[in-house]
Amino acid sequence: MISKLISKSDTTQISKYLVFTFVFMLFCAFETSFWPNLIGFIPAPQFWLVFVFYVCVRWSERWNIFFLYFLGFVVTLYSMMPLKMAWFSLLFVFAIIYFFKNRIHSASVVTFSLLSLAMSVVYAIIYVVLSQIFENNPTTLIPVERLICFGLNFLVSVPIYWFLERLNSFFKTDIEVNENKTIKNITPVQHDL
Amino acid sequence: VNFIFAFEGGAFLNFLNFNFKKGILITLLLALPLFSINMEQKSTQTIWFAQPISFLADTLKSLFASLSNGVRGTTAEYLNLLKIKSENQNLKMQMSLLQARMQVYEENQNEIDRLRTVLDFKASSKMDLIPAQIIGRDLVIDHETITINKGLKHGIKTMQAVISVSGVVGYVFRPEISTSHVMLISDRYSVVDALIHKSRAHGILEGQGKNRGILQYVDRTEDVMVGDLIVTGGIDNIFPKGFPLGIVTNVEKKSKGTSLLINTRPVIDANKIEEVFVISNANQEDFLQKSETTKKE
Repeated sequence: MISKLISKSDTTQISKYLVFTFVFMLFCAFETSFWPNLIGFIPAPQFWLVFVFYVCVRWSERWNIFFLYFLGFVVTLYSMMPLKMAWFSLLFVFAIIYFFKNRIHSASVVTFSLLSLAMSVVYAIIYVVLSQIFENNPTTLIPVERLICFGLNFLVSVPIYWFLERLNSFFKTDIEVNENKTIKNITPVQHDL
Repeated sequence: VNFIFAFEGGAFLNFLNFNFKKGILITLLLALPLFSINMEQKSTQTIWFAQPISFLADTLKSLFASLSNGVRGTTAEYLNLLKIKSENQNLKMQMSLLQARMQVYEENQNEIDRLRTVLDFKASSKMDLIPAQIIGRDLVIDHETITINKGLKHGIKTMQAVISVSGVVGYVFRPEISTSHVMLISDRYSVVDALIHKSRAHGILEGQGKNRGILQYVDRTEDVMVGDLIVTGGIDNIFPKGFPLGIVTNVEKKSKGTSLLINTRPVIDANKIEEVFVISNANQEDFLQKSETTKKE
């Protein structure tokens, strides 16, 4: 009965969201517990933010913004950050990446790393501006910590991208797999011709 | 001169053919060793003509002797160096081992000291305290919170004070089942009732992020100096009265307004502490009264 209601691709999609949420929570826990206990003198790279960038870049559907809102809610469980700040900042991040990714057609790890660096800076600016608007006691620039974070985000974006790409490949829908197969089948024929 | 005895047949004549030159030479050859026997027996001193040869021989012998000594010395030194090198390596290994042990020993000693202080504090206080360990920090750099390893099942409730041995850390703002989130007094959202220890002037300590705070609503006529201790006011019913909060780092008198602008820093650097106490019941502990009694004594 349930199998009639939910198709195989739907099941794949649901499990993909569940697994990626779990990975997101792992990243947050690593950033808040593991990193400060070992390398407390250096601010932790924003693993969660790089994860958000990945979702914005690689998951093409517009309604993924709701998944980002859910991630924003998860962030508030690991931080004092209010929900309004999390959701507004993520909305802006999603909008900016959505605007650029339809204009820059490059899907390499280098492009993702550069985008992570640029978006980390943009996110910091968005957060400071939104804090001035929404919060009674707004945040300050905290330049040194933020600069270190930008650099670390750029560095960790490479392994995160590699890892998430591997993970993402497990949850490809039938349509995506068929598309890939078709491309693979067509290519040698075209070559022979 | 060859004397040739002629007999019958050429071969016999050849045999008797005597060469005087060869004869003298052979005689000399035989005579010289005989002379040398005579020379050895007669004199213990070097003969004049043997002296330069002897000198040369001695010189060469000395030269080779010193050379061999040199070679032997160098070889011995080289062998010593090799030995020293291996000894040095062994000593270095031993030293690093000892240093590592020393470090562990020092760390253990520090931990013992710290735990002893913590236990002394708990024993001397009449407050009901729940000891906890810090297990996490805030996800974003714009907020200052910590996570402790005690939660609802350990009796932790919202708005309970979190302190360390030497000062206030913050207060619980979100207890979970087995962990709790604590807002530090330096967080931008934190507000604590405070008073200046010296003058008893009341104010509100507001966090500013990054280990900074600002003491507001202190009357501009109050005498506040840099370095003054700020303690808890006790009105908020969260913290016990008179417990250290922060130190004044800067005082400004605004040209307009009735209050002073006082910048502060917390007494406790939350990045450097590992253990904290959650106050489950303050039992009307008053540290101000305590310190005054101690002063009088």
